[in-house]
Amino acid sequence: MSARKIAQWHDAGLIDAATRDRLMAYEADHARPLLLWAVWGIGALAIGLGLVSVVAANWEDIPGLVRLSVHLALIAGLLGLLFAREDRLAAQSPWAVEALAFIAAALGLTFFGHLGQVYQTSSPLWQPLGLWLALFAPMLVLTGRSWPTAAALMGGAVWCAWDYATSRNGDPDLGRQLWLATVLTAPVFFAPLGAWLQSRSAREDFWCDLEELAFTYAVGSASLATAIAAWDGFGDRNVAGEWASVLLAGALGALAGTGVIAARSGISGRMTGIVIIGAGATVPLAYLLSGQTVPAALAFFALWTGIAAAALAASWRVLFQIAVGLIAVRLIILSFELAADLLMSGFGLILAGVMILVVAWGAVRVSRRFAPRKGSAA
Amino acid sequence: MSRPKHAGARLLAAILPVAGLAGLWATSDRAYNAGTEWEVPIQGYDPRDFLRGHYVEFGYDWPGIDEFSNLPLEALCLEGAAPSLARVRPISADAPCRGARVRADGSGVYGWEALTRGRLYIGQERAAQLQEQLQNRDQRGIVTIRQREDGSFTPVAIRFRPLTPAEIAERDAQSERAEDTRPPPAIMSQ
Repeated sequence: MSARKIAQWHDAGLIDAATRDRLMAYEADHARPLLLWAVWGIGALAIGLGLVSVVAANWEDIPGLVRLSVHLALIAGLLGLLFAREDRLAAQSPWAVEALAFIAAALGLTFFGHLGQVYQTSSPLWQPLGLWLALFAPMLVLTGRSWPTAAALMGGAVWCAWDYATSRNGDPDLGRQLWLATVLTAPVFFAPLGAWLQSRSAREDFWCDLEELAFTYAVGSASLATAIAAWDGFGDRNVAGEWASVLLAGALGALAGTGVIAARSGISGRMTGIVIIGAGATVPLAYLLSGQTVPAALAFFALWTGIAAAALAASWRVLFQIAVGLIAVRLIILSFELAADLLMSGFGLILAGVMILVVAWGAVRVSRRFAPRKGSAA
Repeated sequence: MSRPKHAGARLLAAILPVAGLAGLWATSDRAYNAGTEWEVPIQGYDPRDFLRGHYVEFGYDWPGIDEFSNLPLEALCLEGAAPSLARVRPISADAPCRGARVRADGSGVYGWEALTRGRLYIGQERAAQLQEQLQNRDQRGIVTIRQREDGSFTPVAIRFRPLTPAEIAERDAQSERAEDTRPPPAIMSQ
């Protein structure tokens, strides 16, 4: 709500001067300058990416010792500034602190690449990522205020886990398969952590964003599992070790979801936890149904219908609309999967076109009719 | 909004990254500067893959190893007076070796190919020059590696020298032999 509008109402005689001042004061206190925040975030992101490419350009003209010293001094300077001035900076602009923390973490990550260039060390990506997480996660967790740091933490964890899990091929034994399932599920546990700290920390937004990102990872992984099942991508199944690992992943997902329910009271926490439990259960289900087109699609529909229902119960408007949209897209893909040979004929194409239109129309109707009202908090 | 109870944790969180990175730097520096230098001939294994980003990728052309053997190399015994490499002998990972020894680091970026392939990080401009030089068949690429007591090694430099007349003769003989093995054209075989 802009100050200009309030001034206009006053000029039109709709509100008196006292009301105008009270409205202005309220708006000033409760303003969420989203555009400004987005600009800060994008700026920090651009600086982070710029640092990566500056280091990647590898200036041979400057001796390695000098380059590394400047690089480490920058990191130390930023961290020192954050430590000494965090509260004062945060009082003026929380986004300045957020941007500084993000840039310090980005500089830290590029330091690994820089060391590799100067000392000719090359290692699989998960090793520097894991070490970076170990060194910088405490700083990010203690100073993060919004989505860029939350995304850096979650993104680093997910990237590290997947790179680690996919870096070795061959036939892993049972112990290693169970370990890999644990590693891949580990990032979901940011959800109960975020849920638990939301009400106990002054930096509520950060923990809320972290919980949402972990929620997205859980739901995204479960959806991916159903997609793999639809192409029969799990390959030779009924290997005892694989069964044990998908069951373990499902159980760990359920544990994380239960943790969210325990950590955050209220309908929103309960629904988040239930969806994560459902996402966990979807993984072994998808493995069971692998290779069967319709059941795999049904598993996807079940997951996202559940998410839509949870979104209705907890009044998450955007998530409800996403769920309806994804179900519609999956329906269309399913129609193509089932009618692959029909598509060669003109009649089949007409049928597919009509199907797409009907599904899209239905999705828009459902979304309009049932979506929770705008403005309800997630 | 001072939170004295978090001050210790925040100080630790600020010191940890700097201390960790500085420690990593120190160990990288020590490992890089330790060891004996050897000069190893190299060859490109696929011209399209020479450069990816800002490193040059190459295949080692160990003297004494048949380049067409597909067995993964576990470890090599280096013979000669460093830095000039006379020949190498493939050995198993823990076999004794009187001279210097290099072994494949299975956890590295090339896995079990660590003794077959390598990379060297270089600047953007130099990378473009090197790509041209690696395609020049009248030159021989030489990579200097630093080999350490524990068998680990790091490529540290790359240079080129023109082929010797003997090498040119060998190369031409090889390509002629390759031509001879082709089946004759259909019209001549009748």
